[in-house]
Amino acid sequence: MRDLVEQRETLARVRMAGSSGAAIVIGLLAMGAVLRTAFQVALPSTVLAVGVVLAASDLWLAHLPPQQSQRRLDRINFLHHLLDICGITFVLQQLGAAEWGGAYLYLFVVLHANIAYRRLGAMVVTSLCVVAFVSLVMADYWGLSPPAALFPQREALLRDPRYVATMLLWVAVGGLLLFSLNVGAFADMLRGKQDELREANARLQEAAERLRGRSDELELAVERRTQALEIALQQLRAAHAELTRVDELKTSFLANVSHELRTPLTSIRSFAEILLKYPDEESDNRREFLQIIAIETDRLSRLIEDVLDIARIESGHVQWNFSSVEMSSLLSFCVRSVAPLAREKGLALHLNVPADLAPVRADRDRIAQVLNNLLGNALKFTERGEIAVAAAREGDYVRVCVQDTGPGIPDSERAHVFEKFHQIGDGLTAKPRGTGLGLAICAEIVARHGGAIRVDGPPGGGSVFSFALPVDGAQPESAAAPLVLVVASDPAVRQQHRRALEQAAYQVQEAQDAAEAMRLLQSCPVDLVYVDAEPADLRSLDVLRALPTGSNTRQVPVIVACGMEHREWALELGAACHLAKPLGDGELAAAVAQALGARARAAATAPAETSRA
Amino acid sequence: MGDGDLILVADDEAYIVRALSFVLSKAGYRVITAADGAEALDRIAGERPRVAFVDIMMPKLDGYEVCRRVKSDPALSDTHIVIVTAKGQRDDQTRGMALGADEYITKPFSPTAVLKLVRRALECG
Repeated sequence: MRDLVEQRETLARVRMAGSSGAAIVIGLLAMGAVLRTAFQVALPSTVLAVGVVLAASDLWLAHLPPQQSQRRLDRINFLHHLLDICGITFVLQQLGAAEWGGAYLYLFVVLHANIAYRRLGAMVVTSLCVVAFVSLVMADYWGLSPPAALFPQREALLRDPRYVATMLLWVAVGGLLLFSLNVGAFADMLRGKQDELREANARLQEAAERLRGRSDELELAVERRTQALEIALQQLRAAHAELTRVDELKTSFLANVSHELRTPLTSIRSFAEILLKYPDEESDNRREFLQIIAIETDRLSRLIEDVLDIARIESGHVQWNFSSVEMSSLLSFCVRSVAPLAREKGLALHLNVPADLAPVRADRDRIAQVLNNLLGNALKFTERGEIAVAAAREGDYVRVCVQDTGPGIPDSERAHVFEKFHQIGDGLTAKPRGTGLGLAICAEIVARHGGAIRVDGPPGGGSVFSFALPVDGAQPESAAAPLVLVVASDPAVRQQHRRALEQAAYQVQEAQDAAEAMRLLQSCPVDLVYVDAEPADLRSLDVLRALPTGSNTRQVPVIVACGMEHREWALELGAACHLAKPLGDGELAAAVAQALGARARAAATAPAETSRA
Repeated sequence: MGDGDLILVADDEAYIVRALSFVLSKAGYRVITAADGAEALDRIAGERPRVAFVDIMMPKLDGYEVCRRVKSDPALSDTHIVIVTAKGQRDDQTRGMALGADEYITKPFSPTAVLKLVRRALECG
């Protein structure tokens, strides 16, 4: 682009030089004509010829077509000036005088060179002119000029006042002309430069405007980024707090393990030393001490097994073998293996499993471990009555219950019973102690199956331990697709969401605002509410406030789509999830699926009605 | 050999109580026991044993708390408190000593060491 502008500039200059050059040469030729007619001086034909050539070349320059390359223009320019210098020098030499006109013409060439060239070219041309001028003067001085037609009359002419006047007049006019041409040329150049500057200024202003706009955008982006960063920071802090908590748990676990391991070791060592120290102790005592050593050795080894087991499960180093498991056969197997012990204690054993119970997705051995542990505890702590095992379908899960008529677990302890190293029945010091890890391991195993284990106290007394396992290849039992209520003020927006949800096989109801939504919710059981809130109208979020008050709407999850600035508020009001607008493809369907899935999981492990076998 | 001095053994682990009681009574001391911190405190206040073995990890009141209460009660502060730690870590020992315990012993311990400790405690008066 710059080159194009430069080319055009150079072209303009060259044309200018050409036109003014042509004017001067033609003026010279006119002068020649005057000399001939007024003063009967015949200019040599060579001089005339050179003059015509110069004029022609200048005229050609003045009308140079555009689309010349810069190099071509530069070359033309330079050649032209060379031609000028040579022509002038020749003419002056022919005329035999370095008249004022001569010096004058050189000056003209120099000035034009300065217009036409910027740097080196102008210097070169200037130097050439100076050299030519000086050499002409010297030649004249040394008498090297050839005798020309003008010579003999020159002395006479110089005494003629008319000639002098004409010469002076020509010099004056020519000078003025030159001057004005050059000034004009300079003025054009300056104007051109001014235009350039104005253009540049306009562009700068434009750029400044754009910059300002950009800086506003940047500010906004920075604000949004800061918000996002703050949220991320909060999440990081929460994660860090969680990590610290887990780390503390691990440390206390280690401390507990250390204590628990040393305790039986202490007994073993103490009694071994006692037996060594008092070899003649009565045999009853000796037998008792040996038994204690045996019991505590067992306990220690079981403890080590359990600690390793739970450490393996927690660190993920266990190979889980999930398969389709028939609970009826597994449960009857476990029950049968504790039947003899139950018979010994005089306890009744009951098993209640429907014949058509769906298979579950589980690791058979690990679930057997859980069942054996629960049954073992039931046997240990129940003195009279019965132990009942039952399994029943609950939605997409199968719930397994182990109930006993033992002393039960007080409410305050129920929350802690699955903690590591919590011994059930702390007051029963007479009973051989367990490892304290059995229920913790059960809790881990059940958690890995996506369920949760819990203990309740049925009305008749005793305890019931229960957990839920997912049905294998569970298809949603409910034949009807989940119903989603879309709340948005713009019908076009509702239509858009309807299409997206129906494509994902959901049923859709529409509501225009919170009031309509609440009316619909009274009559129609909805699985999820989706609120698309406009920044201007956040009253649709009132749905979040109204939902928990209804008995049938309390569990309904709400997904909110609104601006980031209202995200915190929406979540505080109880939204299950927040989506930022504009929504991506399939983002809504994915969020709905996740919210419904989470609710199903929560429902599966929520307080279940306890059933007696 | 001990001449009928009263010694308290407080631990929630029955077998440890049994082992200590056996060794101490074999050495001629009279032994009373407690299964938790509250019971330990009661028996120290009620029966005034000269030495009390107190396990750190006990239900109701832990060993540190028993030690602190005994040592801050002028009537009871001359009872020789032996803290029984299971961890063998410095912090427990320093903590116990800071609370005024006279001795500490770590599990697993040998009954012989226990006897030596008791003798030393009783000699100190």
